[in-house]
Amino acid sequence: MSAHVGHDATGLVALPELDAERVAAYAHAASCAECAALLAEAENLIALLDGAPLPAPSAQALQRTMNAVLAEFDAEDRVYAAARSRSQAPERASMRPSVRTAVTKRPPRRGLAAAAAAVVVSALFALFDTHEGQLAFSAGFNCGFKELVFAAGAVGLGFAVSKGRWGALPVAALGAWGALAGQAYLRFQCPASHDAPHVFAFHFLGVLVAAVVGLLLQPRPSASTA
Amino acid sequence: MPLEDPDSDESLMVAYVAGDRRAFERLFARIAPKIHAFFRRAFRDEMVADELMQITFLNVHRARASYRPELPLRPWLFTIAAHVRRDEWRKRYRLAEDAGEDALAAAEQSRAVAAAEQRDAAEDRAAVVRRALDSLSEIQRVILQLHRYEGMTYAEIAQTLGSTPGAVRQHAFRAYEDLRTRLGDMLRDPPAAGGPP
Repeated sequence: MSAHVGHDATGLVALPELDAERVAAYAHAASCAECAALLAEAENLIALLDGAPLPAPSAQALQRTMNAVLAEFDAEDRVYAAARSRSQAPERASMRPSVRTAVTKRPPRRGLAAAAAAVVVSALFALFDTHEGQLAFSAGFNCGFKELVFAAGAVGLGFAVSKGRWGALPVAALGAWGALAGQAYLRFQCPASHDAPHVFAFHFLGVLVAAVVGLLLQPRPSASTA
Repeated sequence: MPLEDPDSDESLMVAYVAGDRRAFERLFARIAPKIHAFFRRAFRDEMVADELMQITFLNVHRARASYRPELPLRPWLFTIAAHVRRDEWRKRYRLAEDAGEDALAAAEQSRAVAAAEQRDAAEDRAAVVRRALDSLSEIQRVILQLHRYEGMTYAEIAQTLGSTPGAVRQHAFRAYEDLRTRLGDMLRDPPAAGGPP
């Protein structure tokens, strides 16, 4: 550094001893009395700071914190022991945190019951609102496609409402209920809406497919506690 | 390599992750006062520091499986502490979840405590220095704590606080200059050895 140290004197002195900036500052000060004085003053300040560390925390505060962590240790050990006795497969100690997480924190997929309810409603709908009829194969794909469009719309709407938090979305439930709404729409639009083979093969199946695909796409809620 | 030393922080952490309580207790004895000082410097309140130290260690405990042994331990620990500190400031000032260091600094600065300068002047030398440190902005206090008392580099501090080394350096240099200004009399007119200023 060929410039004067100026207001940076203390910052420079606080740098590690072999830092290039610091070394250059001292090299400059060797031929500049003003900067040498500033660096000397800065050294005094650093010594003052080093001589004024904060007081240690109280023994009670330390003990409280340690006890809190040890209590978590105890709780985890109990869960771990229970899991081990169930699985009869002792894990290596280094795997314990992940084992504990898997055992204790893995929640079920969101909205699973709601998705199942939509499938049941769809099946009841197909069972009691139809009579013998035709499969109407050629119209069936169109019906299935429309239900899946309804399902995708419901998931998209949920995604927008949740502000893009995919992980928090009950995808299976939204998909299934969206497809069920599609089935209700088809009840009035589909020419074969009272033909049992057609309704089961395409209308009901559309709801089931939406629920299953939603289930596959839906991430499990995070098990991490970090 | 720190892991080759069985007594290093990193080795103790590895043993702690594997379930060794004794290792945890030894590590805790080393680290807890530093974490406490970090919070005490940031919030200037011992009870708040007590509480946040506990939250930090519980978070460390829950996140311990994510520690990577090849990395130095202290920046990892202080990163967790820095998150706790940020959450506390957000709670106090009702800041948005994505509020950065600048927003925190502005909120804290708006409540900058002038009281530090109004206390009894008849205190010992260390207390005067601590008071000068207390009069800095919160971000300056935190950075000085990590730099001067924890020996962390500006790059490590930047990583810990989610900032850049350049910004951290700038805060630090400004803080050191502020301290030089505030403690100027003490620096130019040192007291007789052993006596109060």
